[in-house]
Amino acid sequence: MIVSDNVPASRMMWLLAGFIVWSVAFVALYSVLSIGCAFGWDDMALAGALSVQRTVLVGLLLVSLAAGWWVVRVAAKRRRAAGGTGLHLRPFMETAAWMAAWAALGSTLFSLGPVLFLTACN
Amino acid sequence: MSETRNTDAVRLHRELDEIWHTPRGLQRLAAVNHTILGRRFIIAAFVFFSIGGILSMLIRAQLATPNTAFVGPEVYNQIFTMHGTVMMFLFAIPMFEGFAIYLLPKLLGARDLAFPRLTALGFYCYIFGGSILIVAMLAGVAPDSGWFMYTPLSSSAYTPGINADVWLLGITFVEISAISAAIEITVTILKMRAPGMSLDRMPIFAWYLLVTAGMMLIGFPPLILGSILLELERAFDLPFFDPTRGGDSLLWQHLFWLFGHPEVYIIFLPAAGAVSTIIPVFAQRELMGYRAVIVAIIAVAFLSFGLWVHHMFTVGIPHLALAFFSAASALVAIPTAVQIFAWLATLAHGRPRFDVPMLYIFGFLFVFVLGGLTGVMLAMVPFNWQVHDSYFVVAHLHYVLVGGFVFPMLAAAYYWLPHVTGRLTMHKISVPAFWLIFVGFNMTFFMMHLTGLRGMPRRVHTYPSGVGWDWLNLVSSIGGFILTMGFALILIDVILQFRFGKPYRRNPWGARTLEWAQPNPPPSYNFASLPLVDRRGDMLDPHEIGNELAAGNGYLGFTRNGWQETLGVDMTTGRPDQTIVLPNRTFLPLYTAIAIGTFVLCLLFKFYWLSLLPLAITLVLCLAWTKVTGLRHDHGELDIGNGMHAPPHYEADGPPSWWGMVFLLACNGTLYASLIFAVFFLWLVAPGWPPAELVKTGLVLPLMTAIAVIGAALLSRMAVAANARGGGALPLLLASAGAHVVTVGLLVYLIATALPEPTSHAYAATAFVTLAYTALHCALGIVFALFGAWRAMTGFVSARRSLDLRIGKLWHDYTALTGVVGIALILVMPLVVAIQGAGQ
Amino acid sequence: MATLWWIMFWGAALLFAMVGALYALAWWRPAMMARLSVGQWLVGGGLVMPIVVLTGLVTAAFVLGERLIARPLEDPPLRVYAQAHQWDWRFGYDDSGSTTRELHIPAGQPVDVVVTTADVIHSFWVPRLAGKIDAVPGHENVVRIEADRPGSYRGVCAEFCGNGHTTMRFTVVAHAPEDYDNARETAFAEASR
Repeated sequence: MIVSDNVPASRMMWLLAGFIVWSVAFVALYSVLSIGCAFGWDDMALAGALSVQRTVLVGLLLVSLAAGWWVVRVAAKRRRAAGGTGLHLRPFMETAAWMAAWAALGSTLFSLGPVLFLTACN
Repeated sequence: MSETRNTDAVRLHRELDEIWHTPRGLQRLAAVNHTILGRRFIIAAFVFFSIGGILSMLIRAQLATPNTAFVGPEVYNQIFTMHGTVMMFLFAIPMFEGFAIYLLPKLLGARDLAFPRLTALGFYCYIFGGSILIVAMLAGVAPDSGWFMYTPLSSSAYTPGINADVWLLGITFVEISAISAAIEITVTILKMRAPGMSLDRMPIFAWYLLVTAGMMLIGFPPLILGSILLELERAFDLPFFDPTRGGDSLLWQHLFWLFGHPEVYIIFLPAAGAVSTIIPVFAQRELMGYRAVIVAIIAVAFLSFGLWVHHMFTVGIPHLALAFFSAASALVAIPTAVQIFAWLATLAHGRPRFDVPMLYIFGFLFVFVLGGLTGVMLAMVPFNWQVHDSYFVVAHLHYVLVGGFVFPMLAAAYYWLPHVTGRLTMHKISVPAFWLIFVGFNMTFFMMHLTGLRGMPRRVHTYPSGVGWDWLNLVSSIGGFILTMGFALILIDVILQFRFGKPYRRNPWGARTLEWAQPNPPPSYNFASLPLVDRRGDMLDPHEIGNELAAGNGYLGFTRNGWQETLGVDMTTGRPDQTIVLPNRTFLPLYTAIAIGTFVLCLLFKFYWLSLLPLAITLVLCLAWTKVTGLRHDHGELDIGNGMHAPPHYEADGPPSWWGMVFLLACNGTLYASLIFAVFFLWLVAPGWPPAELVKTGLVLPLMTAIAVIGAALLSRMAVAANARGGGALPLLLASAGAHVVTVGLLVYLIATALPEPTSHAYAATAFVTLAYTALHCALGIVFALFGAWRAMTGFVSARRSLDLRIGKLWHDYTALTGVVGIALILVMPLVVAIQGAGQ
Repeated sequence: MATLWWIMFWGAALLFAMVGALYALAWWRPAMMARLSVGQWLVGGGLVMPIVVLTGLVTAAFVLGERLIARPLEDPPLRVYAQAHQWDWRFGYDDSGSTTRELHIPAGQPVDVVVTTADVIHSFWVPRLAGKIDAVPGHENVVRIEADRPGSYRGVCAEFCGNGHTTMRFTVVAHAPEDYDNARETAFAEASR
């Protein structure tokens, strides 16, 4: 036979896992920002200059980063289990998934990082 | 079973051609063959490109000098609206679809696409929808609210005529072809490759098309929903976008750009795929960084959905929200850079060799890199505030779209035309044509950067003299005409190649992909036998493979029962797991498209009751499609040659049609998710909330509805289980249909009694649409259940052949899921509205 | 703003020249370019270079954006009102009176323009004073403008709004602060005549 292993289609989903986390995080932060601004969370101080809005947003960012990191860890583990090490590019699917997971984690930080310092509701 | 076997190459050719070929004459209208339809798509797209090009010439004639009286604003608005609409919807998308339809099976080693009749339907929908727009333009009633159709300008209050309806209905009609092409491309790539072509051996072009098709499934539904809602507003006064009744014009902008930005990458990625295919051939080295490029295009696919708001930086959204989209817009440059450096590395590590396609590739790099750089500039919020809706953006978008699509497609045309014609290009015309296009393009559009920086806004039909825009516009106009001459030369060149090009035997470029392993022009059945792929799909030897396949030494190198056979494989590994039997040519797609077209025309001319007739005919015709599909008895494992066996796809676990339904539902689910987004968006952002009157359903009726719709799904699942045990599915299927009937009844009762007048407020209108959506799906659920019952009665269903029932099961499950979500939404919204905060 | 533009302009020119030069070398001197491995090209050119450039650029743009948005100030700036309709602009002021097609502001201080519309979407744009802001039905948007010195500044409608879009122009007249009230009274008188 040409290929020995019969692999389930679900294996392909790991290619997308990291960026699915990114999508969910993006949608979550954008909606929470809009909801918070509509309900005046920005003017509710939690402690000193820290508003409810900022706290919730930064909290969500941390959760998203943690989830992205988890995907990276799992992708790395699956890759090792499939025999991949270092920068070698075998096995194909697991290595690609691992690279995509890193790319997604970086994207989360880059595109959602502004919650740390920009004006929320103006 | 009578199996005829033949291994003699010439007789094999004759036998296969007998089954697959499309006769001349009227029968051409029944064609479902992907080679024929791919060519038709490309030719039609080129015709629309010419129409769009003529429109752009009119624009440049009008703007060449200040205070021109050539056309007034009424006409000019139609011209620029149609230019954008034609180029985006009737040229770019169909052109790439045409390339994909023509090439994919050849590239993957299959004999046709997954759903040949759907290809034909898509083609006719495209032609009919496009024709509606062009005829409207000739009649002087073309859309005139911009290709972006912003409400309320496009609402009935400010565009009372038929113009906006032409756009909404015509484009949605064309979109049927985009969605069907996306499903077809996805399923074909995932299931219909040559044996042994695992995902990591797939030619890079197939990866690009797979990602693009996936994006279309998610990217188009928001626009389709938006168009439906706007047409409902225009036709029946449901106020989704009317700010005086709880609607919001910003909702349209979100839905439109949620489609509109991914659209840009949907156009760019296939072109980049062509570049990634052509550069390695002329670098004489396989693509470097194959995996990095794949990860990069997956990243682009996702990131491109996170930057739609950069078209809306000036609508008054908080800076932080803009920052998300600004950063994501900048970020998307990184995967693009990865591809650019992968191409560079391929050239560096190869032995570059010049030919005409490479000339156009360099044109692409020059123009596209410039467009990418201005794109990064535009992603910066403060700069965007300054130049948004100025000619700087016009310059940018043409650099990106012409650079990112037209130049690579010209390279692709010169590269693959010999495949279509079986003849070689002559250099004499293609090189000067390139320079005319290249110089003309840059003259036209580079100047527009400056015009924009000097403050000229877009979409003005004239401008005053003496404010520094005169000579720039004149240069742009002159450049535009040079550009047009270039395209005219290309057209002449193509015609000359068809007539006088030098014939060749095989693989003129020394390419290493499968499509060159066939005689050119390609035979109707593509491959006399299907290859075994034992290495990466862009490192093959077409000469050797071609001879082997022609001799019938591959898989399926014989004919059987007159069936159109090709192979289906496991998605990741490429192990053959089914023999796919494709349907032969038929007029049904044409008739169905005519029925849908009649329906669209009825809506356009506001014959709403009459429109139900073509709708019913469409449904009947769709059922007629199934007449030639299915088997009446089990066949078991079929011989596929070389000592291997695979069952017919009707008996396989994951046949194309099952996956087709999965992707259709994914697409449909995105549409539904967009609807839910619309409900919450209006609640949060729109003026005029809370509504005066809320939905009053009580708990009993909604719960009964939920139970009925879940019951329908459970009964269909039980029917599938019973069938697997050997029978007894029929009563369960009938019961499932009955449960759907009950659900429809309950929903209609709810809509009639519990909803406030839908025209009174956007809240009531969205509630109406949510319930109507489920009612429609349940009504189709009745059809699916009864169809399953009929198939079971007529002997098309057995424990092994359960496909019809399992496709139905997918539909019933989806209906139950979205139905329950919809009912929950109806119940929850009054509570959400009640807690509305200080924001309004 | 101008600084950001020139940074982006020269940065873009430099990057464009670099990509062009690299491709030229890859075409004519592939051996020289092949000394870097594929991985080095991809990581260096495809990842490191753009990440560094984009991080710097995005940060600069965010800082500038923060300065430009109409944030509440300790000393609230003057507010004026611009209402768009097909196809004209009416400008209102806190006290009384209104002007058509001509907005009067004091020079040398920030002014918040509250932009609304009576019908379709329009966009308020005075290229020399600030970026643009859309007039969206049912919403109030604010753009902060500032004229350094007295004079007339041309404004246009920047969002397509129908047949009169082209001619929907207006002027912002900035006056020395001490002349502002008088000049406005004159304008009101002219408008009511």
